[in-house]
Amino acid sequence: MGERVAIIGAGQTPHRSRRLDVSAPELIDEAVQAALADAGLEPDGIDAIVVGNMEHFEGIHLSDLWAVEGTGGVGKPHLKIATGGTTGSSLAQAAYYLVAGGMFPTVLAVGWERLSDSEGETTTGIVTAFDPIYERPTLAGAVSGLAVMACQYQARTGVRAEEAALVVVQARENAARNPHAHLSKAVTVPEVLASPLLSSPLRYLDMCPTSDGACAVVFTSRPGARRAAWVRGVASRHNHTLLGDVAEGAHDYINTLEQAAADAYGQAGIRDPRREFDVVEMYEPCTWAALEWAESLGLAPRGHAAALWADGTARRDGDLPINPSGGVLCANPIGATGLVRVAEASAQVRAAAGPLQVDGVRTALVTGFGGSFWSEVMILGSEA
Amino acid sequence: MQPVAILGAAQTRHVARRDDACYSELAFEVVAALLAETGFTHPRIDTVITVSSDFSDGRTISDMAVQDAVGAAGKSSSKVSMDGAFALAYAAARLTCGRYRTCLVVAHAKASEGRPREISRAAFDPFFERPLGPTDHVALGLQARRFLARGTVTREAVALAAARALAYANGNPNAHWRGALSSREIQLGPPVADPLHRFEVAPDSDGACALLLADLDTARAHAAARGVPVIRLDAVACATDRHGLGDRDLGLPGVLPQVARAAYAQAGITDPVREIDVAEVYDASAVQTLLWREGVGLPVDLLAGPAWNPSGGALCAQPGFATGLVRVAEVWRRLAAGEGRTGLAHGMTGFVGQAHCVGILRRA
Amino acid sequence: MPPDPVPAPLAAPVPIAALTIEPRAVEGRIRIPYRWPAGRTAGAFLARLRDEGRLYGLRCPRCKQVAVPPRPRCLACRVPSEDWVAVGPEGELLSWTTAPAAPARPAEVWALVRLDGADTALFHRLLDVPPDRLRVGLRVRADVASPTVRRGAITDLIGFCAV
Repeated sequence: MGERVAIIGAGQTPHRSRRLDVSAPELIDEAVQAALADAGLEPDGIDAIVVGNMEHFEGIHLSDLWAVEGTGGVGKPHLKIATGGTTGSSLAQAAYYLVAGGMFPTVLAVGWERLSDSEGETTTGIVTAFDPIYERPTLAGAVSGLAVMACQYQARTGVRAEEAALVVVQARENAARNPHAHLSKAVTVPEVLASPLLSSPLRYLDMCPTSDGACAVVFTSRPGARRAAWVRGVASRHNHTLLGDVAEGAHDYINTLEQAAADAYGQAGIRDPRREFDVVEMYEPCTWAALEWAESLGLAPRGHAAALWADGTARRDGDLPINPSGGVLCANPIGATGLVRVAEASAQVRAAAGPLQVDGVRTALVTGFGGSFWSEVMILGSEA
Repeated sequence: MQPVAILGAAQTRHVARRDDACYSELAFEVVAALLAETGFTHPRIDTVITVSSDFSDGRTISDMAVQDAVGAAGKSSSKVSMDGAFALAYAAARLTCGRYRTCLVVAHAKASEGRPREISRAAFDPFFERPLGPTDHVALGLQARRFLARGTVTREAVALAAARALAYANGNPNAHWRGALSSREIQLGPPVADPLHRFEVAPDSDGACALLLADLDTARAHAAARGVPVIRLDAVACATDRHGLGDRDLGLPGVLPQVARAAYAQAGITDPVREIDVAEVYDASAVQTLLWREGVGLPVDLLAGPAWNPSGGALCAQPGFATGLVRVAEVWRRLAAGEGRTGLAHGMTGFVGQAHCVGILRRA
Repeated sequence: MPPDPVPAPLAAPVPIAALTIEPRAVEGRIRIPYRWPAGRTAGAFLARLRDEGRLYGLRCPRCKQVAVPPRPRCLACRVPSEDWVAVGPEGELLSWTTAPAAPARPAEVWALVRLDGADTALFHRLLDVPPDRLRVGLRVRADVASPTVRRGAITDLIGFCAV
């Protein structure tokens, strides 16, 4: 069977609405240097690099070749993975498999995005993801698909907008301690409810921002004496091409996350996720998604996830902290976003999360989201 | 790496335009052919790696478009956004870690749906190169001049490599270009990027390619049940080179010798000239036909050593990121047919070899 | 409430192979403006080109190679390069090519030029070099636009002329 895989270091840039002071390779370099320093490695200690972003956001074709200036990858194996919102979590999974499969002892995963480069036209890029014959003429980008999901969730559960709003209220509270977060100003429930309506029921403050930023994480089968977060479960579930097909079947919710979580829990021997995880870093592109996915992850019964935020369970000092970093709602450099979740969760397990550290983290749950409701799950633990 | 096996390979015909199919239908077509050839069904395929370029497809998350075509719904899938040969490294790792027994790799490209020259402009450094408007062909022309300036190969030899590719392609039913032209006729043909002329620069093709990889136990059972040989993938090595057109001498093979040495070491090859029976390389120009040969440590004389691009190579069909996977499929096909025991397949990302990948296949 | 409409009887299915498929395509164009911050390294190169009309490279503190275009880290040694050195304005032609002009673009002669003092080559264009003079190793000289029109882009360098 495969090699045991550990995460021994991670680095991020600050995520900001625009980083006009650095070029894309320089932005990548910031994250890479931070990850190498955190892992205590020289560049020669990296055997291969997986790198990803989404080309339409920067307008750079074959972007992995240019990124080599920042990744330090000249002369090294360098694989580009680009899967939309899941890019960052797909990078983590690719790095995991390359190490677990014995291809390379140590792999650096690098995710980056500069959404400000497309001058406010991020959605114009996202719309191209959809089928040009059936969907593209009528779809409005990432918001509309999430709004449909939120509508279904609301209709099924009766959860009110003010309950969903608590997700972003808490996220901003957490982000206030996170120097890398893009949005860290406190918001209140009335402010969320008064923010502009984007696509019913999603309001401006329900949605994640668009950010510039990069993240790098070191995966290895040879951690030596370094503090390690061991990868104990890896799973992903993909879905149909057309959004109308994605929701087919008996479920009134999209079940890829439930399936991926069940797979990963089986690998890690998790039977009671609500009790066994010490922290969760979830890819929540909007407040409502956090509620639905907490349920898909088995952290709350169907229809009852709002209580996690209402009763303080999900707070950083609660029984099951969810997104102590502030999550995607507070920083979203798309190609890096999923990898930031892995970076944050690994730092928690390695007791290296600084001001964000949650006490006594031994097991962490990480999710990624993208494409046509694809779900990716990684479980990290302090023991191999 | 631990060896894995390639159970089957399928290609579409590579042509200038496939107006009868969108690219997800090309992917569907090639996967259906692969399943028919191997006798596999979707439930027996554990995981999927797709290969595509968002810019060439005119679609962000271009892998989303082919999820149904490749049967990825309900499975774990990912996308390598480089030349298809590089996906072998990821697919093999998914098998060697013991999680999956079979992995489908599918690459597609439809050059006819976009404007390849215009798209290629977006791959150049945005501060120093792109504002001047070069295309992939400009990069190939600059590389050709550097290569010829070394004086190791004549202008005639480059044209001869192109003429030879066309002649070989006459025996390849999937080739986009075929023909019987002399090296002199090629040198008198229309210039593409001085000093390169038509047929010395690879065409822009529509096409797809799919491979089915499996662990060795699954491969042996499959081979025994169907009475076919086991074709192993014994090595995959890759590396990325400098990006800018002037960051290194384009007339030299760059990181390719290092990549080839790594692949040979993994596969236990000590004398590539004698040990390799067939080689397929991604030659975007007739200069690359010769330069990559030098890069993998073979003599410049095309008649010495292994069969070299017997399909006609990329010079006769270049379906975008599928091109390198087609090289693997061609080598697989020849080994499966008994035309040799050991084969080399090469893929490339970047117009002038900014990243190289070498795989070694062996008939068990 | 009106009664549910009675569904029309299903027509006998027609095999797809029997249908005449009309070639049909949906056309689209992706229009996104992009703006790439040049950052510390390319930004400094372009600012000095605009302000001084001169070309600079970055010297690696380890291998001493001078990169033009400058790279934030030496691509070989992976250490930061911060030592700016003036290069050119003359240099050596390493390669050139012409490609048929795209619509609305003038025909160009593209070139790789290694400027005096540099170890890597700059991609740019050649200006008015007679074809019979073109050869690898030709001495060329940078032609920089006048200060009034320079705007901090690589096109502030108009191209290279034969010396």
